[in-house]
Amino acid sequence: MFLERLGSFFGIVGGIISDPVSVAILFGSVFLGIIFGAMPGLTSTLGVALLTALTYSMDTPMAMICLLAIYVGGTYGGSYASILINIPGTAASAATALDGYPLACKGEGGRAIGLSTTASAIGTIISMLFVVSISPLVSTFALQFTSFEFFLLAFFGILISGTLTAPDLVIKGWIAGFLGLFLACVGRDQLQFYPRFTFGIPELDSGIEVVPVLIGAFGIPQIIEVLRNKTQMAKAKKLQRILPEIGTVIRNLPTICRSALIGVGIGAVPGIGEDIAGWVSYGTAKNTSKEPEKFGKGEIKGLIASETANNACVGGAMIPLLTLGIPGSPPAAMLLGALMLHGVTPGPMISFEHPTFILEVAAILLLASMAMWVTGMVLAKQVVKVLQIPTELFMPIIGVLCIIGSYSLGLNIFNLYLMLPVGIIAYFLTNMGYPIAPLVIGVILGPMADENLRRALMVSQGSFMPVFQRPVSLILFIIIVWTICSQFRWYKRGFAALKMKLGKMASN
Amino acid sequence: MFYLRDAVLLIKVFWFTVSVATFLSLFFIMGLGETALKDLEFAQDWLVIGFIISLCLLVGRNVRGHLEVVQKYRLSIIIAFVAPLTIGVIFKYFLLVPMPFEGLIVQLFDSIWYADMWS
Repeated sequence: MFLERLGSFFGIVGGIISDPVSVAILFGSVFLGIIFGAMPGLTSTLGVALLTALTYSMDTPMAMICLLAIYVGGTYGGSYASILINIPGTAASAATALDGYPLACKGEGGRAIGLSTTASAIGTIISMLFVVSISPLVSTFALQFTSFEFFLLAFFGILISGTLTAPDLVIKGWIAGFLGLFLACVGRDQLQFYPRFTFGIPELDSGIEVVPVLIGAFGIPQIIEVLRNKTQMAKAKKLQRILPEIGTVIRNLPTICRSALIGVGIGAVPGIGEDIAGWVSYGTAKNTSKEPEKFGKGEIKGLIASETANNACVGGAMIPLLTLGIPGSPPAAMLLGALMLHGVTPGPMISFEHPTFILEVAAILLLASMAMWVTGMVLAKQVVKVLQIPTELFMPIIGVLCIIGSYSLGLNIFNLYLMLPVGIIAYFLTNMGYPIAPLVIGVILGPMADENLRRALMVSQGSFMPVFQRPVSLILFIIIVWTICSQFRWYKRGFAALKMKLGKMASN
Repeated sequence: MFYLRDAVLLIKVFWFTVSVATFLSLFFIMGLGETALKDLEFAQDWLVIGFIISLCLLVGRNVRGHLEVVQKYRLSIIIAFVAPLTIGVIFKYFLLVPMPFEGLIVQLFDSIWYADMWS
């Protein structure tokens, strides 16, 4: 069985490598992703969103190569701006700037880029191994889930995304999530086809289209923010030798492996994403280091920890996406929209409907990481030149792509009437400290939560008792209750007092 | 315009755009397009093209004399025209996405794309 899967995996890899068009698209998408990641103001989520429209007419494997390659390249590309001009290209590379820029100031910018490229590639490959090994297990386990479990999973996904991505008050994250849930309820419900919140508008009968909402939520605020902020780009530090020394990579293997595990773990949690993975890994590397005072002054371990984790998050985010249909990060949320457009419904049934899909995704991740490494090594100096282009010049291109892209999915002008107001609302929400990721997760998981809850209540004839009678439901319920309670002051005070008491008892 | 990073100019452009947009909105809402300009084909497109040209002239007149700003202005004009045209061409003729409203510019591109000289 294992050898069969291994054979299929390498067969898929060979199939992609032997097709020049696929290879060209792979390298082109990785390079485009690196540009998107490198430019502050452009993100891998936006890149995946815009490319979703462009790849609509492609067949599914080609579209997946495009989208995954831009995702991998975009996550890594943020390190360029972080290292060379101390402005993170993406939020995922914010931690990279702490040690990357001091290295560049010492004249080791090339070395930093080389190490971050290698660490990112290794992180992606390790996460790919987890996708291949864990996804079938999760998928098999999820086949035993009933409607209550799926409802609680979707609800937990929205809740945890709001809890962990809120910049100040957690309740803002929850409000954003429930706003997304509300948007998902617009349209005729799946079970009884009763129109909800359609206000007699026939275009709303089928509900709110996910992809234009995602394009609006990520694209429009980004455009407005870039035009508002007028970031003056500092001159990028010069690059010397980029290829890293193999000894440095081998010496830092424990850091790479630990950071990859952190990245995969955080990526697997719905809606959080690469930025938190980067920070958690950086913090862990600093706390476990024998010389923590060196962090922030050009410590290689800090750079490697952040970059490995944020790229490992890519594979981690694919695990819940493919097996449960729950995206692990905002770019994965965009990927989910793209997959649904291509007729692939991620979830427990994916192993039956598309038996080799998980292996295809793993193969693409492996090849994308290699393409990213080659592109990073060969084209680093060219990417640095692109960094000097003011981001405002990209905004007309992004704006037009958002508009035509949203319209082209379904050839429906109503998508534009959806995209623009959602985008403007998302901008004001972001300004008020409401995170957008939970809103997006709410829009995507809303139908899953709504349909499964109502189906479960129909089957149980209105009773919630099955939640407490099934072990997985009960565990999910307890986790949800704990997630909510842990944000309240009385809980935090009680927990702190308990910790102090236990500490005193231990010392006595 | 944001690339020029000139707040005074941006305010002028903003008020000019708001006033023209208000005029055009009233023009079309009151149905004047069908009555006053009924003999002119693609009347709405000509009005919008007129607005774009007058906006370019307004900005061009304001940046005259500042060499660095003139260079930025030229670059932003190129991007503003080339980007939508390129993306529109890719979607219309390569990805075969029909545009929702195909007016003067699309008709012009159609006549070039489907011209007999290519066969």
